[in-house]
Amino acid sequence: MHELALAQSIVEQADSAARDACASAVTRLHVRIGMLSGVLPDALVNCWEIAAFDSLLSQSELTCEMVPVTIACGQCRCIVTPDVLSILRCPDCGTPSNDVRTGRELELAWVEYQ
Amino acid sequence: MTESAMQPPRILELRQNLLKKNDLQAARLRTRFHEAGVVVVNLVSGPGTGKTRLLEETLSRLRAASIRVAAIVGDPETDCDAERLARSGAPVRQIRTHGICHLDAEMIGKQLDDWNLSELDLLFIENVGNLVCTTNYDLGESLRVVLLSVTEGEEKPLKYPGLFNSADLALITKCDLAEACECDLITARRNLESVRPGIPIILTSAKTGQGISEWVSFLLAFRRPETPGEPICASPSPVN
Repeated sequence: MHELALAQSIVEQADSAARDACASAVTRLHVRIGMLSGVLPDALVNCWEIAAFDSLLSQSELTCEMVPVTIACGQCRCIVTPDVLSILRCPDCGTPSNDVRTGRELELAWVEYQ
Repeated sequence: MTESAMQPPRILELRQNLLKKNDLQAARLRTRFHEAGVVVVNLVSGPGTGKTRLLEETLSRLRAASIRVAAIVGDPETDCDAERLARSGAPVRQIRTHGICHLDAEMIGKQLDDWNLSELDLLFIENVGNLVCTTNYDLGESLRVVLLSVTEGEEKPLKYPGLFNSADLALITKCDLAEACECDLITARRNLESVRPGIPIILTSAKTGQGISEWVSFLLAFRRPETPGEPICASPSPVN
């Protein structure tokens, strides 16, 4: 995907939030990436240094968390995780569901700053 | 030790969408499209699935039925597709992304400045051919249509679940070549349904005309919502 552009977007948003909080530097930040988003965390981390250069985030550590796909099963009336990412059906009863509850996230969760 | 180094680190919860800027712009576009009464269709797929060929046929058919149509087409380079589409007589604009692998809402917004949207019934956006990067970029569309060509193989939806799951309708294209490509249409259909349960699927061939009437009817059903203020359809997979 376009991980450098995404990394730049993270820097922009985190830098702005950190300045609003009167921070002198961002030390760590955490993003949540849905399994359906197509974004590769390794690629994001690899271009982090370039994206964060000359910003409040230049010394920061980026951590990524992959969010699994969950769907609501209308039959079992509960939130379940499909066995296979590309086969959206309940692992218990086999009912297909496109009621995706998680797995599409591209979220800047938190920043740690000084 | 500096003053800042002595202070304990603090955590700021943000929970912000990484594509917030695009999503805000897309939301503005969606409002604008809705107010103008134009249905916007975002065509997504890998390269070479026949988006342009299908659109040539679609624009011609709709114009013949006195439906007011226009198209915006995105490619990394060249105006080839815009030239092809313009032969239908519809207004067409080409976006050259210069290497960027998807269209975004800002690119679309820039194309609309001197277009009177209220004079259009349907606006098609032919996205850059890409099975990954187009997934997360909302363009303010009413309908996202994914194309799967028989030349790609039946398993594409399983390999690229994000994009196929984000679509409202799937068109299997180039069906006239299915036998020659040994494409099993039943498997192709099953794979689309696995990755996006409940998705409507139309088998098409822009060359023979197969499925084109059904596709056009599907589009016309979305034209001009009867109740102003009601959403035309569910917006495609908003991220957060």
